[in-house]
Amino acid sequence: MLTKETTRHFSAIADTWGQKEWVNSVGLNSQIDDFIRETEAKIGLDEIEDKISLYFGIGTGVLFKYLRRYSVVGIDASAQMLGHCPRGVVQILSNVNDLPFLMDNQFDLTFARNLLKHCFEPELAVEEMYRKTRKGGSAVIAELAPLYASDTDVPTRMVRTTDPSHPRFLTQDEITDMFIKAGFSHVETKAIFHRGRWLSKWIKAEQATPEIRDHILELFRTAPEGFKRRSNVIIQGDEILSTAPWLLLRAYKS
Amino acid sequence: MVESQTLAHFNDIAATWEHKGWVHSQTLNSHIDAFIRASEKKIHLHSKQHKTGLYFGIGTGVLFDYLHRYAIAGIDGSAEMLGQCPEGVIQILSQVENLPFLMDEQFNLTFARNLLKHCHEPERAIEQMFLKTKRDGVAVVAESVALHPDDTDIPTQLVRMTDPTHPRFLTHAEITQLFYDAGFANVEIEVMPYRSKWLTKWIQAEQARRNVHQGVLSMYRTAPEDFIRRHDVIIQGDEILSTVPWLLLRAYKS
Repeated sequence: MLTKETTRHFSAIADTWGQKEWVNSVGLNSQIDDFIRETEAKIGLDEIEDKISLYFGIGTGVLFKYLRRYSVVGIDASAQMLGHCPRGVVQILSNVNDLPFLMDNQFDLTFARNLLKHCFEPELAVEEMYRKTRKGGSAVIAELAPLYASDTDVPTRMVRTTDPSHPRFLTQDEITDMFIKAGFSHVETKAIFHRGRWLSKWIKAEQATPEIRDHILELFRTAPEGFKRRSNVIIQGDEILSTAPWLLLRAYKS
Repeated sequence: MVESQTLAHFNDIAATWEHKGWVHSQTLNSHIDAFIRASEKKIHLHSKQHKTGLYFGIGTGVLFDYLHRYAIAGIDGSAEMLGQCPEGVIQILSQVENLPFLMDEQFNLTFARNLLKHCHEPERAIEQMFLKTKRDGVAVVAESVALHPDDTDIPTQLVRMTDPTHPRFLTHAEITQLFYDAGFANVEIEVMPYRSKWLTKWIQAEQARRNVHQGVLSMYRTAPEDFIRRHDVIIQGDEILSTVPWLLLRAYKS
């Protein structure tokens, strides 16, 4: 469940959200695409013609181009974000953990990218992914998630500069545990690392003030050495270059 | 709103419902198919990729075969009926008159077959068809109707034998007017006479008892002469051969 404040925040930045560095990153997106296709091959989905997919937190539908072989239902709590979705997405306006109107056990693939970190009860969203995935299907997520609990602090403080109600970032292990607890029979994960210059784009996307930019620069300058080393943080004037760990996870429902 | 007794009835007969003669009729279905394709051409939908369709009262999804070129979301109030839908249909469990979770103005095509007669407030279902249809999209319905107001009585009595809360049948003129009232810019209709032997299959589909079978025969034997003439009713032993008018309607949203 997203808080009202977070939903309002997404609605306010719907026009600029796509400017975040990672959103349209070909490098990152093609790794996600490969991971989904690999998942399909593992469960024989690649041979099924009429496939359906449920995309939790679809936002503006940037990744729809990688899912066109499915009939895609996209859920988002922000009507403004959904309003940017490309043609062909069936758009559902709802919180992701409360979907009684969608029949259970029907989707070949359930998917989310960078959703769980925004949820106050991410385990409820994962449980809903489990319920909506059909037996023999798979849930796939891609989520920016630290490997170490101590590394959740800096990104959490950063996102709270524009969305004060943002929950704490989750670690990769925490997310993996949620999928196991939700009832998936088997979970496979892969950590990938995405390096980019991101601050200017993030500031534009979040429609943030110069004061916020300065605050983030200071946050990263004074970040713990372990975090800076693991994220290979380089501050170049008003810009930050760093490496973020992403979790790619597939969970099988049998 | 489809009454809860009607929904319970559909849940009860979900496994046999398709035995009804018209459900799999090649003649009828190919006419509906041709009518949908003609509607697409009129609004240049046929040349668009990534089309979405919303199928009101999809039931067991028999007509999905004709709609594979769309991402189809199918709504039904009966979970048992939805449970019979073929792979590839996005199944939404809901009353058709209340769909706040679906974004408005998103579907290229909205469609219903033999739905309106089951709704106590058909105007509310049509209002939803209007709301969910994209601007420049089209709503299409196929519905068995009466052409003359006096002819609604016999089919209404017939269906009430197994579903006592069934609303009165509608005439083609009433349905057409409801689409104009909902706000559609233009409405085009065709009436197709569909002739078949139907009683034995109907009895099987409805899981009706012998006394219902006899009751239907008796009702048709004593039906008003005009009804018998207009529907060319012939009773052959335990079977009834008659002609039922079907309304094919397309409504444009501008």
